[in-house]
Amino acid sequence: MDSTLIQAGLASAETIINQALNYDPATQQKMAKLAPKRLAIEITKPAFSVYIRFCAEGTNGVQGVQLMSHFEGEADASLSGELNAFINVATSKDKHAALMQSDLHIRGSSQLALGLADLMNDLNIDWEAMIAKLTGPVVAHVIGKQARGLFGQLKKMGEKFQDDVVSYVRDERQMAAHELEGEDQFRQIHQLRLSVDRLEARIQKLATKLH
Amino acid sequence: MSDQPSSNNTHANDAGATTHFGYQTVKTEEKQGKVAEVFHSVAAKYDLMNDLMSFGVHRLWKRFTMEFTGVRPGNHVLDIAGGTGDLTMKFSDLVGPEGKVVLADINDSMLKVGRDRLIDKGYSGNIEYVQANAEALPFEDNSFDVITMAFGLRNVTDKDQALREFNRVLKPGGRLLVLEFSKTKNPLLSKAYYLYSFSALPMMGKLITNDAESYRYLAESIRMHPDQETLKGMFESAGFANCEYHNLTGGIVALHKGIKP
Repeated sequence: MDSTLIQAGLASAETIINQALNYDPATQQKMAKLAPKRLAIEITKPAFSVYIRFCAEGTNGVQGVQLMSHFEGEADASLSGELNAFINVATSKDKHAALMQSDLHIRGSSQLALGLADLMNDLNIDWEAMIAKLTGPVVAHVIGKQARGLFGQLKKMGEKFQDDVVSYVRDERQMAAHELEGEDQFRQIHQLRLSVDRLEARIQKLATKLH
Repeated sequence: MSDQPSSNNTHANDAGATTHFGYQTVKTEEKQGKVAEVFHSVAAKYDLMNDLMSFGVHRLWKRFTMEFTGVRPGNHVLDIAGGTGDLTMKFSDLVGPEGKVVLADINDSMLKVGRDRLIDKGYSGNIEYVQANAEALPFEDNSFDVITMAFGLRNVTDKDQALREFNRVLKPGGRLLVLEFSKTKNPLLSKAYYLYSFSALPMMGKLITNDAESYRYLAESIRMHPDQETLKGMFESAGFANCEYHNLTGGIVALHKGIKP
């Protein structure tokens, strides 16, 4: 892809993120404390890298993040993996735990990567204030109320759909085991792996003695 | 494109004391004055014209350039032909109070517009303003960590001499970044770009700055500027190592990079 198009995408994303952060001053301040660190996001499939530079307030008032397609030098931390793994972490409720359990590979300062996950967990953008700037407080409140109601309903529908799918796949079609059965199975596999490791160590010890 | 003179402007001085000013052949000592006239004329509305002519894309090209600078706090940066200070502004934030940015331009009108713009935006403390000719820089050897030149090299009379000067004032390991109009290999894009630059640009110049000739020169000077491979070779001849270039917008613009060994 032409670098100009990539720059256009990054510049737009950067503006949206920094504008949104203006409506969550607590997260914005915490993020400024990460300055001037750099985090590399390396997506392996499809191959694409983005570098995030955390910025404290500069002379021109920029505070938040700077997104780059290229970085000269070594980033303070890097997260690499497939796009799916990044999406899973970004959409999970507990991003810190999701990052720890994910297939993403962390290099460099894991504190920086986990710190960002914590910041995203605590992100609480005041969308109503953002709309109020364009429409005034009364209209913004009405829009906010309607939007909250709609999102609440959508969330409930989503959760119900997920429950129904799980019950259909697990109970009706019997295509997957119950979560508890699965956990028990994994525990047994883990025990077996430990036993095999111990056995391997003993065999090696005996082999050393024989030689 | 048959009306384009066929000449290699990388050896402008080979034919005696003449060089190119757009499509015209002028005496070498006259080019600097003619280029100065162009920029005196356009200085006041330079930013507006840049935004109009490039549809704002010049900001993305400069943004891409910044990614390759690798500037760190405390660095010394020279923004030569810095004009209205787009890059200087970004460098000023990056080098911090311990660093220094020199905004240099041969044209005092451009330098004044740049200085006023930066001061109005609150930039001071780590920026110096110097009126300087790229062919004879008034700086000591090994002074800068990074030198950038955005859309300036094609206006320099002796480009090889300018590149040698950049090499002299860079610290060993320092990098030179030249962002300049270049040549696209896409025939369709090339045709569209040619039509746009020779019809729309002078018309915009006439409407906004009441000066069509300056923008005709802009279009002609782009045509006469060396292509990517030629400029890369000039970087190497001037003593730069690890020379590379990155095409932008299909090669309409290219970013050239060289490291002083």
